[in-house]
Amino acid sequence: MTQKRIAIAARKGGVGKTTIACGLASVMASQGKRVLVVDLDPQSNAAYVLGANPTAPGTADLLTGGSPTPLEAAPGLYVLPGGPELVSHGIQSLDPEDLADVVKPLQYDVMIFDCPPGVEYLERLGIVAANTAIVCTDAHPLAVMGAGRVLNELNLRKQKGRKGSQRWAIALSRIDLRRSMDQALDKQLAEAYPEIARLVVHQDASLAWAGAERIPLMDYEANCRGAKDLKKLAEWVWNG
Amino acid sequence: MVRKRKDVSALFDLATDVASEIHQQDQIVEERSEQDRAQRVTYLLGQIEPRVNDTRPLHPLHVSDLVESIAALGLIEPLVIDQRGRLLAGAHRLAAISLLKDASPEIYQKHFAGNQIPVRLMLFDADVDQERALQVELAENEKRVNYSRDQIERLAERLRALNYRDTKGRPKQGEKALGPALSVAIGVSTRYVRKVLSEQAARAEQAVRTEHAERTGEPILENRNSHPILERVKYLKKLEASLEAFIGLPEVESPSRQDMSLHTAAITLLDKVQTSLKQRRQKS
Repeated sequence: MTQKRIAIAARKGGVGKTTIACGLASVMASQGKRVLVVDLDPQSNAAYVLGANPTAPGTADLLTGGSPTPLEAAPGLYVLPGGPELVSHGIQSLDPEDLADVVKPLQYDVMIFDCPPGVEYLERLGIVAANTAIVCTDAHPLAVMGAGRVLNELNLRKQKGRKGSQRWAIALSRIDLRRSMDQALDKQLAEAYPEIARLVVHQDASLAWAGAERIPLMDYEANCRGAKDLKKLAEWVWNG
Repeated sequence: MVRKRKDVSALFDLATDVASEIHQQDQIVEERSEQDRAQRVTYLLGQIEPRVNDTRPLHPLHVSDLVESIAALGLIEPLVIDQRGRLLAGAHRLAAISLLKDASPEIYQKHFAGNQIPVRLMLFDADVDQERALQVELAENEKRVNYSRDQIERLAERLRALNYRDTKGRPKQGEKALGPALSVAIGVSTRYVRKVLSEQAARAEQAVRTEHAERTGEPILENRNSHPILERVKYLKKLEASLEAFIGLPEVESPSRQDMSLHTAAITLLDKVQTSLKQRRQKS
């Protein structure tokens, strides 16, 4: 099996990147895979959400030549924390392919790069190191705008034959079909990006609670609606 | 009153359009940041790739000299790399840094925290533009060893004033090693620096002896081969003075043939001595 390296990006903040990244990681680990979450967010939320120490040496250390030990959050589920060091000058001046180079020797079935909101050089490190991308948006024009920018960049890089993600999907996040914008979103994205797969992750309090209580999703509530949605997302990654 | 809402899909359309417009700005920014990366001043040690074609093999002595100086002062002159991180100039320094990392990790960490090595990145690809790569390598090597001995000595004086000492072995507390500092500053080996400095020390000693001789009137213990021309002139002048005095003496009463012959020889010799001195003066 070829290694899956998945970038989770949105450009916009607060649309559910970390929730989807860590939830998907938990689902895939529960499927018996060895999964590493690489947090690229200076806010270091991924390790926190998974119940690990968010201040331990992590992605920044890896990018500056160190060899940090990934923290084990659950059997088969590991995380490299993000942190403020990610905005240091040394990391800002890295080549976009540098993360791809340093994760090459790591032995995992799946690597998930949790990209930060806004900070484009960090997001780029993630999408260049990945071979698959999941672009998250919720049902608000501002989120659609952020996702559109990421999709345009993915497309451009692929056209130019650059290294990085070769396939991608849109994750429609926090969807509650009682709301009119949520109802319109799927059709809208289908028209704007007809070629791109769309997967829905519904609004689900369990997703929020699992993160707040710092328990990997499949250990928190394996049968909640969010977990079912994320299993479909995993299915797309494996076979889509 | 409930405000009438706009059509949702029109709102999303607008957002998608704006995303495309901002994307163009994104591209411009990305291009600029790519250029900025060319000005990046450090590179990870592990990511600097060695030169493909080395025009000269590494000189082990030169490398160990550099380890010493880099440990003392850090890397003053950045390595030169191409846009893909391949070394263009500074193979000895790179080897020295790697050695330092293994030999004294603490000193290495002090100078190169986070494995960040100072570099000058040149915006071309050494594979594509091989001639330019070679030119950079040569220019960087030619640039060095151009300090005259006088300049090196003057630099050494300034460093001594800053508590650098040229003693053998590890410098004492509060003192710094002069040789390595100089060799880094001017890019020559510490051996060469030591040679220049020891010659300077020998001359300084000579000056002290001359000064002592002038003060006390004791003869200077000259080196056998020191200033042979000046020695010659000195004795010629003495000879000239003695001959003039001798010839100027009042004639002895009833001189013998011997006396007269000596007198004539003295006059001839004085003439020869004066001619020789005159030639010397014209030359200088």
